[in-house]
Amino acid sequence: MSQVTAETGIPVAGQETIAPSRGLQLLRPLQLAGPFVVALIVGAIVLAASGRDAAGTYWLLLQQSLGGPTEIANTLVAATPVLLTGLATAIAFRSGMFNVGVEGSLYVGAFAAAWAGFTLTRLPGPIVILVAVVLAGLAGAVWALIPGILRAQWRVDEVVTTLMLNYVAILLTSWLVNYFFLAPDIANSMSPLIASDARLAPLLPRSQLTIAFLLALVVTLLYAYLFNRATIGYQLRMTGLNPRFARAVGINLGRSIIVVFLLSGLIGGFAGGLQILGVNYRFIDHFSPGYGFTGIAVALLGRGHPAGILLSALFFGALSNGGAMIQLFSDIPLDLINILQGVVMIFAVIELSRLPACLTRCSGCWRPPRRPRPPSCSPPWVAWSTARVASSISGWNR
Amino acid sequence: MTEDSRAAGAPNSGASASILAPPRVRIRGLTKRYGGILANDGVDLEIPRGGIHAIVGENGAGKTTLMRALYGLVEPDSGVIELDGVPVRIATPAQAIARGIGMVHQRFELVEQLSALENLALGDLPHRGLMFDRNAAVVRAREIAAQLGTTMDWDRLVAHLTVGARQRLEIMRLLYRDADILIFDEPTSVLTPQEADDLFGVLRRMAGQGKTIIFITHKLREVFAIAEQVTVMRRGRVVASLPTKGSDPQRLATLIVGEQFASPVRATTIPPGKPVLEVDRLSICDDLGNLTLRQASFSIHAGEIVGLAGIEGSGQRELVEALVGLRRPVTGTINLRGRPVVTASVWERRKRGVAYISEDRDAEGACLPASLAENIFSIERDNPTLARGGRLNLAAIARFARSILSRFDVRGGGPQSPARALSGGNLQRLVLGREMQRTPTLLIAAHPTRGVDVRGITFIHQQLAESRAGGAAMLLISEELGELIELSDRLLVIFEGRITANLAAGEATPERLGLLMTGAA
Amino acid sequence: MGGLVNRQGGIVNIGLEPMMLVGAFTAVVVSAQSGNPFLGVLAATVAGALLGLLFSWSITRLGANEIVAGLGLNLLVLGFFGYLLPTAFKIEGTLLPAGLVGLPKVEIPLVNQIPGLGPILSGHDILTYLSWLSVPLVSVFLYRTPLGIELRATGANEEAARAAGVPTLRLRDFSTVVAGAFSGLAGAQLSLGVVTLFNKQMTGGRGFIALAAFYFGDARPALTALGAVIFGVFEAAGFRLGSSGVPSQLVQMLPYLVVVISLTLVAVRRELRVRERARAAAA
Repeated sequence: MSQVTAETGIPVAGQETIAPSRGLQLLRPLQLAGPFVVALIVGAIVLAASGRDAAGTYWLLLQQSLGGPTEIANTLVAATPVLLTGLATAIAFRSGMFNVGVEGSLYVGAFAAAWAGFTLTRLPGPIVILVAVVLAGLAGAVWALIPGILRAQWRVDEVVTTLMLNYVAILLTSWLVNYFFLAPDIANSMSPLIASDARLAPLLPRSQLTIAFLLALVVTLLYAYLFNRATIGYQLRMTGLNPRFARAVGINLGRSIIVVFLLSGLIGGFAGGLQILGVNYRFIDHFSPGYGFTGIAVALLGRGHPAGILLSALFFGALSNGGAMIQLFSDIPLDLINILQGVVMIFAVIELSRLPACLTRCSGCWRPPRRPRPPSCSPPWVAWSTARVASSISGWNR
Repeated sequence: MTEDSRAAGAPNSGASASILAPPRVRIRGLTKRYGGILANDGVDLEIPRGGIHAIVGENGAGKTTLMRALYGLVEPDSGVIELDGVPVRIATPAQAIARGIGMVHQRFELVEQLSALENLALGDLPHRGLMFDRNAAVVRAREIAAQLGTTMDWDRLVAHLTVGARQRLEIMRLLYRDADILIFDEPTSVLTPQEADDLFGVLRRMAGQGKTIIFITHKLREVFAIAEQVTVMRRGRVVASLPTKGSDPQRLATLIVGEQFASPVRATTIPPGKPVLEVDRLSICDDLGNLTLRQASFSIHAGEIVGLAGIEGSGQRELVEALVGLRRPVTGTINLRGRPVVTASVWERRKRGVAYISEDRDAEGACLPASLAENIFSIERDNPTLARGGRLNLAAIARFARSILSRFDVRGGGPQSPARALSGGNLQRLVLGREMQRTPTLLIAAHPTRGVDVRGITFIHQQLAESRAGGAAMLLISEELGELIELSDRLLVIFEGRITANLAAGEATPERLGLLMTGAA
Repeated sequence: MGGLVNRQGGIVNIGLEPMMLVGAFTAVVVSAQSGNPFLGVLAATVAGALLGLLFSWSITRLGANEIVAGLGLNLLVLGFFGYLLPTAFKIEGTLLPAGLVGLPKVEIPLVNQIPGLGPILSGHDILTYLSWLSVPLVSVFLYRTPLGIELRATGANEEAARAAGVPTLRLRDFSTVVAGAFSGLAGAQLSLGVVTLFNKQMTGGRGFIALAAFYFGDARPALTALGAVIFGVFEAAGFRLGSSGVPSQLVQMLPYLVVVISLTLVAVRRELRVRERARAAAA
């Protein structure tokens, strides 16, 4: 765990060099659950202040996200893309590279899959699916390779380039769809539908839960294997923890960078391709509500740990699925979910154990600055990019 | 000398008065615990006003913790600190400064992006109205520099100052804040011999002006060179406090380690074997494109230790990096056992038997957040029992790591503990063990004993000697001239990027090397 | 400028955008209630500063990671307004309360007579002039006052500054409060100066463009202002070209591509220069 935090630079509550006292240890589980609890309380206050039944709304949210097979299936569907983008982001983070360009890989991957789906209509379905998925992964990987090569060859800061290339990818696919691949008879910016037998078959009736989710789980397992058991994963991890050390023991940093960006882009491309094949069935201009960016949040909240990533992906999936349903059934705006997400994120990084000390004696809460971020990413650009991320999650840029 | 400086420092009070007065600093029963480790265990210490007081001890003996407690950086668990007989509570450096205590750290606490002047005055900037009163600061700065008998380019950014100048700036900062108790934490570890001498001059001058100077070190030579009183710490306790007059290094060394230790291994001459490393007209640039090594040619034979003496920054670092494969030379060739390796990667060279002990242990030699096993495995990636077919054998790696830890007596953690938990000396044993395990044909050892305690130094010297006896060729870089002369069969001197001398072991004396290193000969 | 002060103080503030939003909202509501736009501006500044203070505390006192906390703040504030407008004001989108008074435009005599330049330099609301004035003011503050020097020290090396006795925590809080206040002002300028309304999309990523600007300017006041102007020009150019038959996507893509390409060029040039120097030195 401590390694993960070193890479992401996210402080973990209670993880101090000095052994925590017993009292603090008892607080730990509470701290892990804390953000969620606080978010629910804040949400309840907001609901109550606007004259609504908070408990009822939460019950509805829970029901709509986990209340039955269909609801759970929909939550899993919603979790699939953010699980994949979370993994794609986490691979880079753990290797000390701040790839915030998964959204871009997702778009080009999605477009490639859609193109295969509506062009190769003569081929049998399974083959189209295979080709589409492979193309999606390749497209995502190639897209991620651009900043990867720039970084490896010329030491161009990847945070900025990956971020910028997101918007380039979004606009590029939008241009392609609107000018070359517009579906006939439809004015909205959509491509034609993919061949019907190229759609992923639902695992459950009346849901869009497909093999895509299982694939995402497999990728999660591979991710765990990569960083725990594989030599290449060891090299990437050392690169992330201390690039100078990695170089001195003979790890080829340039190759690490390329491998990381390839893998990250590949998974990002899968995320986009599977979304097209399993959910949307066509490419739609600006179709992603920020899966790639939510992936950053998933990776951070999951602290780079495979199980953590899975859990936070499920959580974000449940929120977005349940929130969408609530908006349908009541007049509660979907924005409530944003409030909850925001509170979760803030409280996930606040160290509640420090609060009492701070309230009583403010000079006492100073701690030495945490260990520096991986030197591969200069903090300013990290910040800026994450800022853009934030704005994009909330759709501010459009 | 003691009497002189006291008299000069306290002209108003006679020698008898200063004996009756309470000590400038008295620490009683100070205890500080980190987790399960007692860093300071009921320390009692008295330091009289004026003069230079050395505190010596092995790494981890508790010297630095004690001084950090005095300076308000560490909150002791129990114990009393008295200044001039008055108990005080020092919770922050600001309070320490307000009471006239200043500390120069091993790592300078300067803000590189600010000018020397801004750094000097930081924390107490003079102002006229809302604006920074630069002129007042300059006047004050010149005064202080004159007091120390030194100069400073006050408008220069600290980022552009030399190490020696930065240290002088640190000292001047203490004087700017009217500190009269000055704590130095291993101040010479970053200095060239000349800079160290300059520093000693400054310290004596300040002691002569009545300041109380506390000097942490583990170099006994320095203790006898400048201190009047020395306190020895071992495992968090004070074991002795005695005047340097009438003591000798051997006695002090015994007190420090708590037992008699074997005198360093004397290199026995073995006829050198075939050339292992041949460097021909090698020129190397630093990151900014400045030529830092010019046309260097030399060779190292099997079973030979070649020492490289030079003032820090004379091109040693770039040379080492080029030999290891971390830096591409501009021109010239490097041959390893007759085969050119100048374009070979670090890994290719390591597979051909190059081992590397980095001078920067924490940032390059080891990976602090990773486990000990991961640190050891780092250069064993081609070992088929540890990793096969791209898969790690975690159990085998842990076993392997445990064997290295016990063979090289690395204490303070098991294979799964983070390297961060180890003390400097133990971490260096780990690095050494990792590199020695592969019985290298060429060992590049940059400052292998830097920051290591006496016992560890002996161990490292033994290991290097064994490796040499096993036929390894070795390039040894060290700022300890004694160490270089002791271990090396041959000595190269580097000055301003050029190799200016090649001496046989018998020809090298510290005096001669000192002259060569400074370009005076 | 606010973000710049903050950055110099060692906090990377990605919460500028929500602070702007809060400022814009407060300005509209207070201005409408009181009928006095200047009171609205004042309230916006205070609101931005308060949010800045809370944000800062979570970072400096409670050890929160500034990036994640900032991200959370973005979501939280956006969600809050998205929730508040429909539920409390019963509107979707834009808030335009009765009695809302915008800021008056100020014509500078003489300057507005200059052909060409006149309309560019004159005829803005007072906050616009204030923003121009803030460039030299912030510059003087950072480089010529004790507080500014201490702030820069804190940002560059907090431990060293603290060891020198600088109250780094309070300075970082202070810098975030300044950033919040400036952002509040910026929000007020948008909601009372540029237009006279509030909606949750109105800041349109300007908080982030500001971040881009001060990274562009290496956190130096004059260069940062230049960066802001360049980004502004890009935005305007995007609008113009879009209507002339060129695919709008390609036009919008331009700024992003320019950033990627210019960064690459800078890096390549840096590498080449080092190699060139090395070759020259060896010769």
